[in-house]
Amino acid sequence: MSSSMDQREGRKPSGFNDYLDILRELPLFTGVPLDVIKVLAYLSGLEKVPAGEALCVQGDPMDRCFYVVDGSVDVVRQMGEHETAMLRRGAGYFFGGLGLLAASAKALYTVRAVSEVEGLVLTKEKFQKTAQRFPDIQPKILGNVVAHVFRWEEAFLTAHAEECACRGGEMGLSLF
Amino acid sequence: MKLRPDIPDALYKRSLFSWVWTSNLKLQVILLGVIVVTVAVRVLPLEMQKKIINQAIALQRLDLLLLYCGYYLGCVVAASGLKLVINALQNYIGQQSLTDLRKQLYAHILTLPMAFFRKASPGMVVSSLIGEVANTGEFVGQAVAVPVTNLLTLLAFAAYLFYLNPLMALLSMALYPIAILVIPALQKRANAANKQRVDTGRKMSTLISETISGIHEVHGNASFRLENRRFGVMADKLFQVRVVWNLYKYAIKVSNNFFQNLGPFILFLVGGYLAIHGRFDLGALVAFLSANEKLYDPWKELMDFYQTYQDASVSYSRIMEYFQGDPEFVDEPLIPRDPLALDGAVTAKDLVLEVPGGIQLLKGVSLDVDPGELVALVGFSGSGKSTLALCLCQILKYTAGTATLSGMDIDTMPKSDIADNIGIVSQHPFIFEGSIKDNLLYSINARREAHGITGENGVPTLDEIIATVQQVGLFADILRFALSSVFKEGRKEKLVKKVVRIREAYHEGHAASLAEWVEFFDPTQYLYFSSVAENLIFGTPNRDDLTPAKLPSSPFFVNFLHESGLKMLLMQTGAELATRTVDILKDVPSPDAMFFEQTPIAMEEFETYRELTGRLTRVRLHKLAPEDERLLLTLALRFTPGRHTVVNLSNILEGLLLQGRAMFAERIATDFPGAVTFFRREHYLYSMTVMDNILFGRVKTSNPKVLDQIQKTIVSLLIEEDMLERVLEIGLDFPVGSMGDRLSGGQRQKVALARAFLKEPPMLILDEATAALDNASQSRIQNLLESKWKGHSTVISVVHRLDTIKNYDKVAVMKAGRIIEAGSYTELMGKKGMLYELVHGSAGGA
Repeated sequence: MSSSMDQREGRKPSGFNDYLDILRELPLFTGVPLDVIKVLAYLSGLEKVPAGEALCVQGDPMDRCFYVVDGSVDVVRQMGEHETAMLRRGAGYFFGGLGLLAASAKALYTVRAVSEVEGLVLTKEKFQKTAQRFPDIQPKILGNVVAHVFRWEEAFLTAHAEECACRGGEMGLSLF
Repeated sequence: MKLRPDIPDALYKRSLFSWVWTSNLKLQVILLGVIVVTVAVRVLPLEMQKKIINQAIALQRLDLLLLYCGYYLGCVVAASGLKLVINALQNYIGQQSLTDLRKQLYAHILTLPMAFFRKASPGMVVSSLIGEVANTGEFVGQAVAVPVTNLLTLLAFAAYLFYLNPLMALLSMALYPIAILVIPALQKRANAANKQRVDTGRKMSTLISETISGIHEVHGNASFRLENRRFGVMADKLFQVRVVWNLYKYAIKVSNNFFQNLGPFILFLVGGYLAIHGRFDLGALVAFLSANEKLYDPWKELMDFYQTYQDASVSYSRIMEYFQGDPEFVDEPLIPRDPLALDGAVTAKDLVLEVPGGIQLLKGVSLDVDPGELVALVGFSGSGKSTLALCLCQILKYTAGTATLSGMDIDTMPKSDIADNIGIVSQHPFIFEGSIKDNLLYSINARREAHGITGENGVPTLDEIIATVQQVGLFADILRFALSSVFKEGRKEKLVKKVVRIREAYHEGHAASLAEWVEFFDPTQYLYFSSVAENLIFGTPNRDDLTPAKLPSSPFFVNFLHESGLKMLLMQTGAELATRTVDILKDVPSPDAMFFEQTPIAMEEFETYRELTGRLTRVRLHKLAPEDERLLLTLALRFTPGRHTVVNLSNILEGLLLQGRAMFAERIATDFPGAVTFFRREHYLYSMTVMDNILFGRVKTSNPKVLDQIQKTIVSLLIEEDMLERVLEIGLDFPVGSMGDRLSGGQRQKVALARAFLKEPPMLILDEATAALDNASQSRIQNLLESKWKGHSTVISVVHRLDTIKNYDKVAVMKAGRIIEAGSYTELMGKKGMLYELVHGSAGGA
């Protein structure tokens, strides 16, 4: 019986130090002091999701963030009866970070495991309790989010210049 | 003349002195009596001294000496005893008034309007109620006793001294008023110096924190000299200020002593002169000397009392100013009557809510709701939809217009009628410490208490509670709580047998599919989700010294660890666990229980281990004190690699532990047969949770889906064994933790919904009450509203998700404090107005 502690594959993260390395490299936590990331890494845990299961469901509260360590996921959006695949991502994919910051954010996508997925999970409750104790990190994280929004919109505008012009009312996220 | 002053009804208008009047007056009178006796007893020794010298010693009469000394002793003993009585009474009176003030203040604070709580911090309320009011209590206790005692003592002494010799009396009294003038003047200067010290200290703090924050710049420019000079200037200034401040402090002390010691000088000079000339006897001189010494105490006590009064009046007026305000609504009907039963009809006409600054949150809202209607309030954030809902249940008070419930004016209705008839669920409901059940019954128990209902009257049955729990979707959560409880041996015997039967059924049907998620109690495998101790013992101990808490101090067990070669390895593991945990958590301000879920160190042990890690840097493992060894073994034995990821379990240790398990079983068989009941499929495992028992193993995952699946199969087996209800009852007793912090956001909201539903009120106000729920739970609640509550109770629901409102009887769309349109969903959608825009806007934006 193999277990999640199995270390034969060597490169799989198996403990605190690996979690710390993962979190340190997330853009969401840029500028957050190491001591705080240490606490967040300590509060994180590995979780396995069987193939076909959802990691998060569109419309459900986003109460955790997830970093894919192994396996791949599909990001899909349900529209009425239909389901549209948006992205497929593998190891290194991180989502749910924005949900950590809002009181009752609900997922806009369903993220489903294509193969068995193993990932690092940090729950919103644990993140927020830490953030309350280190209020200095909040403006930093907010800054990271804002920078991300600007970067994203700029890339989008560059890539879809003409479409943007016609969709006037729905553009301008960074003007928020 | 009226003896007792008028005491205003409003607590915050009462004066500090009014508490003296409402204190225990009977005790105050007794206290006065005791004081009068005490004063007499205090003066008597002076007369005895005089007599001892003038009569007993001068006439060389031993019998008189013994007699007067006897009196003297009696007075001293009596005075001490009486002083104790005075203190006891004064303490009792003070504490009683303090409790009275606390209770009244608490009751007053709870009724203050919402506006107060928006600006008040819980910390301020706590410190007022716990700390600041204490001064007032102390003052009330002393208010009669201290001034009366000391003034009377002074007067009595003065009278006695005048009777002995008016001139000398005048001289010895004259010093005190001088002291009273000089010392406060010095005190004033000392205070000024102190203020300067604080100011300079603050400037210095700013300078230090600025330099430390800008340390990059300092290093970059190597500006050490510059910074040292800046600091040096400040430090020198502080030096000067502190020297002056300390000088004033010493001056006060010295003058105090000086005036006290000056007394005898004058007395000796004048008294001696008079005595030499035969105008004064020796006994009287001694009496004066000792009176002079004793006069000091009453003066000092009076001055201290004045300080107490000052402190008390400052903090009292601060508290009363802070908690100024009247309740916005009457609490209960003026003339007691039976609770009203309302039909749920609501009207609002031109409702306005204006907050200070002239800002109108509601700008003339009108709405009619028939009994049993399902009404949705929708609109953008800030449109006033929550505000309107909260005005209808007296959480907020509207400032103009009218609103009625069953034709009665909401503004003038007693709060008790509102609470009897309305169930309120807010977006962030509050959960109190206690069990789930306590919280589910909170609303019902509040009403029972208010109406003086005792016993089991009005409490819903277990079936009713379970039905409601099921309706709101809390069933699975409560089951989970129940399954994670541990049964004590010898209790719930019937359940235990059933659990073992369920285990068998479960393993026959599901064991294979569980293998991925459950770590079965397999004697040949290391269990990563069980502690090291559980791995070694692999059974339920029957001896007290083998229970998990006592293992690290059991000589038998520690000896076993030593012989099996595990002890040093485990201590090393314990040391790593402690060092790692302390390193991570040392800078977390006031970490709560959550921060200790992933380490074997418990919250209350953190300081102990923090100190231990300090020692570990200096002392080698094999030289540690026995207590430190025990601490490290404790951690190692709790170490559960599946949960405590700060340290990895090495292959070597894992192998040794597995061997240790076999060795331990042998050792028990030879040394203490029967001391451990080893895990076997046919036994109930008393040290484990119900869930562990059913699975005969431990769940390895925190994946909610998997947990749900496991639980679903367990539920069907529980139903087969007819023990579901009993198990749920255990789950209802689950303690939710302080402020319900052991519940998730969704669980809290479900508890709040169930709490309102259980009350079965004719009117429900739901303020985004399903915002924290997942889709499935949200639709469950929606269905419940449409099937069970519609037509039965009026429901006014502030809604943020527009896909849930299709079946509402009425939808009111709000914008900027006004209802823009109201009607049925189809009607409004057909009109293509504001609702249409909202629905399509949100669909497009989401």
